[in-house]
Amino acid sequence: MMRALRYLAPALLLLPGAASATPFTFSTYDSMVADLQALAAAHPNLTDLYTAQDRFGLPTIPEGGDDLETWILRIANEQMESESKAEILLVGVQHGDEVVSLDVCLEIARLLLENHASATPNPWLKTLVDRREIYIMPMANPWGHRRGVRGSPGAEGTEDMNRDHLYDRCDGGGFCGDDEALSTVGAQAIHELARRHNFRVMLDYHGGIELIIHPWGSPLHFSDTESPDDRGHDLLGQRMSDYGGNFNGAYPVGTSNDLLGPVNSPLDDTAYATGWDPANAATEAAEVPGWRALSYTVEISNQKRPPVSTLGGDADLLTPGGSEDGYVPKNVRIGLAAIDSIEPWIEWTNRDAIPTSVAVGDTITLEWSVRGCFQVDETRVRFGAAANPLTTFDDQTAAQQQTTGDPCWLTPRVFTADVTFQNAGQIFVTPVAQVDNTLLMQNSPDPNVAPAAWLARSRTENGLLITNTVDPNETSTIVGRTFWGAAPLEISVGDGVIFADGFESGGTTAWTITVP
Amino acid sequence: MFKMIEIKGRSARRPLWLPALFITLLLSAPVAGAEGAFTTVPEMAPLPDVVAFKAVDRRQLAKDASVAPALEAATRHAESLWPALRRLDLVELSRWHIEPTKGFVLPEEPAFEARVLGREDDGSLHVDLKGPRLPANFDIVHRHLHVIAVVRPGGAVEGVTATIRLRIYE
Repeated sequence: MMRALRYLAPALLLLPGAASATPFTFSTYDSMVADLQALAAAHPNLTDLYTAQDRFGLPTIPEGGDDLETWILRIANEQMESESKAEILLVGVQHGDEVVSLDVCLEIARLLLENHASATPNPWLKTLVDRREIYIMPMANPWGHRRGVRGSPGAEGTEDMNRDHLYDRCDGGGFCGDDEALSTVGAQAIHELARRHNFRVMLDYHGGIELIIHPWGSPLHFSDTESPDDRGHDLLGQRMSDYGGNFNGAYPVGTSNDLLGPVNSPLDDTAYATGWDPANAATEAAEVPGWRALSYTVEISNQKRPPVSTLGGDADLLTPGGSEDGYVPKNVRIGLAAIDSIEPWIEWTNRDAIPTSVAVGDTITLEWSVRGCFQVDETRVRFGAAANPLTTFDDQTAAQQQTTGDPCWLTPRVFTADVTFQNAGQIFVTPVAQVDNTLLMQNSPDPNVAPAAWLARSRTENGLLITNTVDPNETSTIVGRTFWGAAPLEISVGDGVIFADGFESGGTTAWTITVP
Repeated sequence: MFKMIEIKGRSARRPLWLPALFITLLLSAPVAGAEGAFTTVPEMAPLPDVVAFKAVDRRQLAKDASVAPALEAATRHAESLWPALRRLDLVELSRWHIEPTKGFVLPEEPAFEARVLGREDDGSLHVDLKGPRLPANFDIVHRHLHVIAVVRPGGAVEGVTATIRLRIYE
């Protein structure tokens, strides 16, 4: 449970090295609502807090005199303009008795928001908020959570929500827990989100075992478990497991069918495949063409309600094996790894050292990192008179690459290039990168189709991939790019001598002033 | 009698167990002898020709007076097949958790949990008999031997199928 102190003192936020030693405890429905409302009130410019009942018109769930609702928190920085921010969905407590997942979701929200407001923010976490749209449904099944049971009220009694989604419905034998798709309110709420958004990654937190599993996990694909996006699923799964760390052992990563066995209509297969394989899904699949997320079921702990002493604390959240490591920090890191990886971006790493005016023939050193990816297939600097040198450029430096190791992650590689400008004028400069063609690798995909997930397609194809206008107030669009660039720098190149005060002397341009 | 195996074939690559299974089928003897006969379906493979109502309709059907004697007849029939069922190669029938299944032997005494699945137009009832739990790598994985049968009006038991169904309670 988060404490009010956290909201009153965001500057105390727990960044690496800023230990405050606050152990985690289990939240309740009521404390979750209070925490979410407090976070939204403290960070109105970064949050949109609503219930599926208010926004989508779904029914409340009466229980114990209360009308329980399905709460959704959207975290995004609207002040950061972007044509299409990458979207991710985090879900907790589909199974009401797997309570540990709730506090993971809440802690991710708190960490991101309080860091962003901090006077000394962690720049990586701040960037994640600025560049992403993060949707968190911390308690999909409030009825089950309050009763301490797995199921949720459905059309035919108590249903298993994680068998209530669209893909590979049970079609014979009566061995499914639920025969009607989307009969639970929580599954309907997730479906409504999927109608409106194009999530690149979906994480569904559970408890009862310790694994990270991904599609395939349904009987339809029981004879060959490799999905068309198995490469992407494995790369991100391994990254999440590695960054989660070794608390009680690193999570094994694999397909549900390989590690456990199949179930009908789980959320992970549904979120991955419904958009491109609607023929094997319920009729509602036509409503969710955007369900093409790399999808994971993260099984947090062998016990659905592990001892409080194993939850950990917030003293050193970002460090695997940190001073207060536990199931919550481990899975906060897993969530952050997913949020990081949903879209590439490029950062200048020596921007402050790059002069804004130089003389013809001068050589300057440019440094940059490529983030949010797995491999850098090609990166270089492009420059020229056009304002967007990503696509229109006069010259470029030699290509560099790193397709081994992990050049984009945690301690990203810094690429360096020396640039000498030969002509005077205003020059625009940007590093560019082509990344992650490895996501196209396949062995024996079932079915035998090309990678279909947005995460793979958005960085290996060019052009508009999907536009979703179900929500008239917020169009969700994915535009694919094979080359990514940073915000261009404008450099004034003069043919005289540049003095330290920015004045230029001599040459044909006479006296000009360059604005720093 | 032959083993009826239905496998979803959607992949360009076939797993290695398929040709092995085919050879096994060619060489295998009928599953049951004088006690009766049954077919087998691999773990979690689709069950052909099973009439299964939705849960709400199953619950309604379960109240029908014809169901209890049908469940009883199917149970007695499956119990009569128990010696043959115990000789089943459970590893061959398994698709998951094969290692822990190796060496597992079904108990000497049968124990079934019967429920009705659906009813044909002529009144024939399709029933599911959940048998013993089978080993798995994790506690949250529940695997059981199941016997599916059709009980005709008048009590004759036909179309007996043995399979393994797997559920995960994570």
